[in-house]
Amino acid sequence: MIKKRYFQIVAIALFIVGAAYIVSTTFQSVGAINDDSDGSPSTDDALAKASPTEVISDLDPYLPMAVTKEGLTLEVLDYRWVENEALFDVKFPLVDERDWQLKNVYLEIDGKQYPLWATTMVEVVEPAVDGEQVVLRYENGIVKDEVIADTGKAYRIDTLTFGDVPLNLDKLDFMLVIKEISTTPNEGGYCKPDIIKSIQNPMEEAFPGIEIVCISEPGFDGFGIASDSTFVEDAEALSLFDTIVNRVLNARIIGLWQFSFGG
Amino acid sequence: MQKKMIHIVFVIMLVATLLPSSIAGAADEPKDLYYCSYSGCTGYYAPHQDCDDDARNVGAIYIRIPDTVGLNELRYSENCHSYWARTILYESGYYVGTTVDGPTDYSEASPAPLYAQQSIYTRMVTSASATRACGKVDDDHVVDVPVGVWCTIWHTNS
Repeated sequence: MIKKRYFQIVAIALFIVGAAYIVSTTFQSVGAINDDSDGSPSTDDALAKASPTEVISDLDPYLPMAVTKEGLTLEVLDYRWVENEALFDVKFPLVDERDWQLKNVYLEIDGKQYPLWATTMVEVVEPAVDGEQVVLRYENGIVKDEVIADTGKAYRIDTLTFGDVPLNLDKLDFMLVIKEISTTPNEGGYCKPDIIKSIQNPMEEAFPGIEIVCISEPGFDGFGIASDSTFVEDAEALSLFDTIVNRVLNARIIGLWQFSFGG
Repeated sequence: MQKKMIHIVFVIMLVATLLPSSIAGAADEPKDLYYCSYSGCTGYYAPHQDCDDDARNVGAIYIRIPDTVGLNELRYSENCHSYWARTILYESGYYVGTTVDGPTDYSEASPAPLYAQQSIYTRMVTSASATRACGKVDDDHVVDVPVGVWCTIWHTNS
């Protein structure tokens, strides 16, 4: 009799556990839907695996072209030109979660350097966090984002645009030169003690008594020489200050990735 | 004996109440619970809502007059589904203005010339509508806003 009673109680308890779990899960789902009630996309396919969108030009058998320096392989996936603009799709690895960009880039045609005009993100596969990677993909004016299972590879593809290039570029030899991959702090990341110290110390050494200030307020980030400092108008101090701030603030991977194209 | 059974059932019910929420919390805790999202971010500066945590430059244009003196960026946060504009000055001595041109426009203009590597950025707008970032520098005057030059291409998030 007691055994039967015990069995009934255990059965009821298991039922309660199951029911409580179902109710709890339902409320969690409703909560998540409500969070996106302002029109955000469904997250049902959040774990769907992304397919890479590497567009390879049929026009050039040498693409994709890869160059490895500093242990990092950069690839030109495609290039094209529209009137006097030349566009290159370049893939580069992301070494950590920061917002890395290709910098100090130019196009060399007949010995003349054409500066980089603009960049557009084509695809970003961010470094994995907790076994998942966020993917951003830009297509036809729309940025789509999704979460995929960790692929072990984090990278970014950007379209680099150069302007005022010769109209007969397809008949010329030219070279895409990328000198560094760098990152600037995000908006809230300027006034960190180690950054301030790395600027203050060398400035103090060159100009004893100089005071460096870091300002981070809504809408503005940056370093400056204190306005009551005697060095605030000193051209030499300002020049050194620009150099040091540029060096300290922007993390850099210096390399020389050169891609040559024949006419 | 019956009293003991009641105690056991009570403990099981207590565990049952706590167990599902802890399992669900660990497995699929929505990240958006911690951030503003879409139009909920509009009008805020990114650091105020921690939206700069995962900020990415999704489009950029160099300001060339004719030398390159600055970079104008369209910034995007996937956590917050929002855009904003940021302009970074590369050479000291210029006034800077920046505008995020979207469903709502927000602009910032420096009241004085800036040092190199100083930057200004706008408030956020929802990424659900087409948006671009524009920026301008001037060596003589405060930049008039909104800015309509040196603009990135348009972006929308879906």
